[in-house]
Amino acid sequence: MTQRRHNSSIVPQQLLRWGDQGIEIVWTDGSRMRYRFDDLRRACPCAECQEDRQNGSDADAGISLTVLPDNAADMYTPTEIRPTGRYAYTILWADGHHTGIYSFELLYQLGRPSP
Amino acid sequence: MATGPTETDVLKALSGIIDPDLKRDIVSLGFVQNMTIDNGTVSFDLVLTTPACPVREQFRQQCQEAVGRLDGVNTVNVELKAEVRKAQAPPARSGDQDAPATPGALAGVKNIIAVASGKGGVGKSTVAVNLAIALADTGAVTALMDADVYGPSVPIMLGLVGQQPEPTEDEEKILPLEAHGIRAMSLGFLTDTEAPVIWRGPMVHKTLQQLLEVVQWGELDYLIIDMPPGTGDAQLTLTQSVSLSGAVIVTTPQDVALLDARKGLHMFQRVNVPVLGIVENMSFFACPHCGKTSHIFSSGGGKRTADKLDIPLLGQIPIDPAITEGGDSGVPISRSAPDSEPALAYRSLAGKVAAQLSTLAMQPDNPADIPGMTFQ
Repeated sequence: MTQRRHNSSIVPQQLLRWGDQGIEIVWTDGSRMRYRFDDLRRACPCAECQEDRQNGSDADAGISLTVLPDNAADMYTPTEIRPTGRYAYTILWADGHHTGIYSFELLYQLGRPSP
Repeated sequence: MATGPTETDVLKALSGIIDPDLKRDIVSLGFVQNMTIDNGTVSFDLVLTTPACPVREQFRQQCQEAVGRLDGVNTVNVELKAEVRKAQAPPARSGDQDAPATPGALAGVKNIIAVASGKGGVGKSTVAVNLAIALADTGAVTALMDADVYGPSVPIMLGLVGQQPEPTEDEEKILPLEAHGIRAMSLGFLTDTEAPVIWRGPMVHKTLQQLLEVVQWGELDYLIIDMPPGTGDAQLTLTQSVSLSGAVIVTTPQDVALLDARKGLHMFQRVNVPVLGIVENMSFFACPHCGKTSHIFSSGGGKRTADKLDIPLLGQIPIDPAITEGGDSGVPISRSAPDSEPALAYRSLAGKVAAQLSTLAMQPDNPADIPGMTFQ
């Protein structure tokens, strides 16, 4: 599959709901892409989550079990997708996490083409 | 009895007038409003995109000529007005307390302009202060935020040393100070001017966020942010957390400074902030004794860099001892010597910055329209 390259003139034109599970972005170059909320949260680019992911992959080698907090579902429930500067979205989650700034470049890579 | 022109006739005559920045005619841009035609007297408002429009008088004259040529017109009254368009991303709608602070706190601000430099010592703060005053002088509501956490100089330059901002009535926020027709906030108002700020990156980040969040700016046409010099943590914080409408890069003409200006440009491009152009400070020195001009820091550097990077050279500010005196005494040169060459250069700069922002705001694919979404 050939991946189209993102450049700074490609920004979201429309932001739509994709059922209960995610969103769809229509980009200014005409492409449509879908994103699942849980995929987005797992790809959170903030420093803390990046570090957690790195440590997590080390821990998986052992036998540690993660204890999920009561509000685990909130982790994957966004409360707002907010344009940030001219280059990114900040996604605010129901568990209070709000430090992830998803650049359009990153989102363009993460998206799955809409059928 | 001859009848005068209809509104359609007048609009048709006016549609031949093209805005040189926006490259469209003033009728389709929606500038012509509230027209009345009464017995050969045609009156209307010309609502420009900025009071700092460099060609406002030219517009008035062109309108008067175009309409005056119509049959049955005796008098043409053109009232110039301005309504600054918003060039930044829309404010957030949610009331989420935990959310990043900037969008809501800056909701009433139409344009946020960063004044940056790749290195220190190029007179960035002086340019920021005088640009803010020059914009305010056109009638635009303007504020200046001193984000240079390590060396806040705005308190001295505006003559506000020792003054402290007051809290709002509900004590939730603080009010900016006012001087020389602009609102201003600086970390220098809140810390000891003598003590150096020795902070690591995260502290700087947090402080700038708070400073942006806690100030009740009110409705503003322009907010100028005097950025810290360089391209480090603090600069990134600001470019990443505030919806900047555009950036102005200050440089001096010598090659080393220009190299750094290029870095500044790339930082803004990386985060998709439009760079409005370069300001060449300390461009030349006009000797007050012999009148001869000397290019102390070599000449043409700003122009060459601007051409190479394909961005406009917005202005060249001469060296004048009065600039420094003005800055140190708390009365910027735009106030102390409004007819001096530097003050005129600042006024022209303000016009160009405003025109560039209007152009951006009027573009159909302006990223200010990037959609957001809230969830119940």
